[in-house]
Amino acid sequence: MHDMMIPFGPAHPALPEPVYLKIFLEGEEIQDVDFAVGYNHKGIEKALQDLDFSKSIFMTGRICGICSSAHSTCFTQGIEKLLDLEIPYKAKLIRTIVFELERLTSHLLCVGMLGHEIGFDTLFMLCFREREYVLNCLELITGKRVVHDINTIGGVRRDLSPEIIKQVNKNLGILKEKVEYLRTLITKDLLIKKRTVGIGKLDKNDVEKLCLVGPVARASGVPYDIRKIDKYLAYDDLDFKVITHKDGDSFARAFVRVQEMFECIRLSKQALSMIKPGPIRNKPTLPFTEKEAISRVEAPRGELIYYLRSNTTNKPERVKIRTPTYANLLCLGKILVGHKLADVPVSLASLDPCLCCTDRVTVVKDGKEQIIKMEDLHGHH
Amino acid sequence: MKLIEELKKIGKVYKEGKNEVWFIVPYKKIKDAVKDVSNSGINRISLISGYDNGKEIEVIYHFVKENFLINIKVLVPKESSEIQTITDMFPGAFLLEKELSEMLGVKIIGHPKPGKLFLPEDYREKPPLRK
Amino acid sequence: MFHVVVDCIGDDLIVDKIKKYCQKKSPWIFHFCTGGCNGCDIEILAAMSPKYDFERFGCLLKGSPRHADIFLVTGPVNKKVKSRLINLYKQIPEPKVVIALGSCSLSTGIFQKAYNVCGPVDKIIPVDVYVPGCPPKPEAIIDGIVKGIGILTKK
Repeated sequence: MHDMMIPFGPAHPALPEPVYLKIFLEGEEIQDVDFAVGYNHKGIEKALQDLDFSKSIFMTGRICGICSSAHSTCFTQGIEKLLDLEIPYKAKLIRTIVFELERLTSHLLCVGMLGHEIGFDTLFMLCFREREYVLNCLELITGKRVVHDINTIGGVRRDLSPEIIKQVNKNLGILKEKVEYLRTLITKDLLIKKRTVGIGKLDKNDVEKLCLVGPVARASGVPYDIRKIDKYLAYDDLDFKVITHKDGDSFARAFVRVQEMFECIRLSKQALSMIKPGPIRNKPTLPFTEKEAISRVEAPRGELIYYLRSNTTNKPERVKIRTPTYANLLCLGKILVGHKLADVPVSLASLDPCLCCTDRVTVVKDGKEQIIKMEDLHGHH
Repeated sequence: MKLIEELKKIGKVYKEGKNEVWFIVPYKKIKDAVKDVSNSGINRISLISGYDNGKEIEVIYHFVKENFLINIKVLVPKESSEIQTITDMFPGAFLLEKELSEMLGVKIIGHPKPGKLFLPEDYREKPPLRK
Repeated sequence: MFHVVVDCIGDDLIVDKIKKYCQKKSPWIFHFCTGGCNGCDIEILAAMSPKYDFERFGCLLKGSPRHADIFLVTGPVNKKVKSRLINLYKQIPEPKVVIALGSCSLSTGIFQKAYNVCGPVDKIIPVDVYVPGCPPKPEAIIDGIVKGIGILTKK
C-alpha cells in the first residue's frame, strides 16, 4: 500500500513528447512508476496520407522541433528508396552538415536542462549562450533557426556559398573552446557529480533486453549508432568515433553527450572542407509504384525508423514512425524505482525526454488531500 | 545465414534488398518464426508496423541484427483481429504492440498491460487507421 | 493633507497605482504547450538566454499559474489537453493577458486535417495577443510580450 501518488507532467517547454507519470512513494523512496502518453498525439500518420509526398516532407519536419531535420531526412531517404533515386554527393554533404549542427544544439539543450534540474542555472544560461553560435550557422545555411525545411525529393533546396562556409568554420572554431570549458565544468564540479553519479543506473543487460537506443544505450556500454552501422548519407567517408561509457548512470549519459559534441564539430568541419561546386538536386523519375521501404537514421536521441508504403498515386499509402524517446520510455521504471523523490528530475533530464516539473503533488494521507507545488521539491526557487 | 534457411522452411521470401530480407509467414506459424529469430541470438526489435489493405491487416515485425534487417509479415484476418504477444521473448515490444492494438484495433492476446495509450479515454469511434 | 493627496492622484487610489506600476515593471509569465512540436517552446527558452534576455524587463518564467500575469500558449490544442488548458486559464488570477504563440495556436497551422486536434486556442479561451511564425523568432516573442504588458496595464 503506497501512501503517496504524485502526478508528474505532461507539458514542458523545449523537449519532445510530453509524458504523464504517476509516481508511487513510500516516504521519500519511489516504489513504482506508471506512465501515460498521448498529450502530443495529433494523428500525423493519418494526416500524412492526405498530402502529396513533396508536401508531407514539411509536415514530418514539424513532428519535433529539435530533431526536425532528422525526421525530414529520414522521410526523404525513404522516398528516395521507393523511387530508387540516387542523390548528388554535394546534397549528401549538406544534409550531413545540417544534421550534425542540429545534434549539437540538441545536446547543448539537454546538458542545459540537466543543469537547470540540479539547480545550477548558470550552466543552463551558458549552454543557451553557446547554442546561439550554432543557431547563427544554421540560419546562414538554411534560412531558419529551428525548423529547417532544407530537404526535397532528390536533394536539398539551398546551396552553400564560400562566404557561408568561411563564417560557419569561424563559429565552429569559437564554439570548440566553449565546449571544452563545459567539459571541464561537468567533470570537475563536485556538486554536479554528487547529484548525478550513481543515479538511475542501467546496465548492459537492461539495454539489450528493453531495446534502448541512443546516448542512453551508449552510456551503458552498448555501441549502437546507426551512423556507423548503416553508413547513410556521407558518413562512410567521414572519420568519427562512437562514444561509449561503462557506468550507465546519469553522469555517464551527460558525459557521452558532451563528448559527442566534439565529434559533431569534427564531422561538420570535415564535411565543409569536402564541398565542391556541383548540382544539389536530381529530378525524381515518376510515377511511384507499389513498394515498401524502411529508412533509419541516428537522431540526436537515438534510432529513428520509418516504414513507408507507396501506391501508384503520389500520396503515401502508409507511413509508420517510431521515435527514439518512445523506445526509451520502457526504462523509466528501472531508473526511478529505489531512488529518492529529489532524484526524479535529474534522472528524467538525463534521459532527455520532454517532461515538466510544474505539476502539483497530491498528498493523500488519512483520506485528506494536500497540494504541494513541484517547485518546493526543487528547493531552489 | 542459418536463420534465413530456417525461416524459409516456415514462410517464403517476397523481397530481398541490400542488407534486408522480407518474409511472409502463415498466420498460425508466426510464433514459431519469432521463436526461431529469438533462438538465433537476435534480441532487438525496432518496429511493428500495421496496414489495413481492406481484406486483412498486414502486421510486419522488423528485427535488427547490426546492419541487417529481418522483416516478417503476417496477415491477420479481420473477423478475429487478434494475434499472440511476443513480449515473452522480446520485452522491448511492449509499447509497440500497444500502439498496434490502439491504432488498428488488433487484440494482442497475452499482453501484460492492455489498454489505451495515445487516444483519450472517451474515444469510441473506430480505430483511426482502419479503412 | 488628505485633500492634497486626493487631488494629485485623480480617480485611482494610491494602492491601485502602485499595483499597476509593479505589474508593468515585472510581469511574470506562465507557459503551457498544448501538444505542438516544441519549436516555439525552444524559442521561448532562447528568448530567456543571455543573447535576447527578456529577464531584463522583469519577466520571470514561473512554474505555477497562480503566480502569473501573462499566459503564453503554444501548440494546436489536443483533445486530451483541452480540459487542462481551461483549468489552467481559470487558475490564473485577474488581471491577466493571454498570448497565443506560433501558427499552430493561431490557426492549427499545418495540422488542420489531423483528427486529434480541437482547433486554434481562441476557440477555447479568449486571446489578447497573436504572434505568428513557425516558430516566431525571439525578437518577435519579446515584441508580443511588450504588447501584452501594454494591454495588461489598461485592464
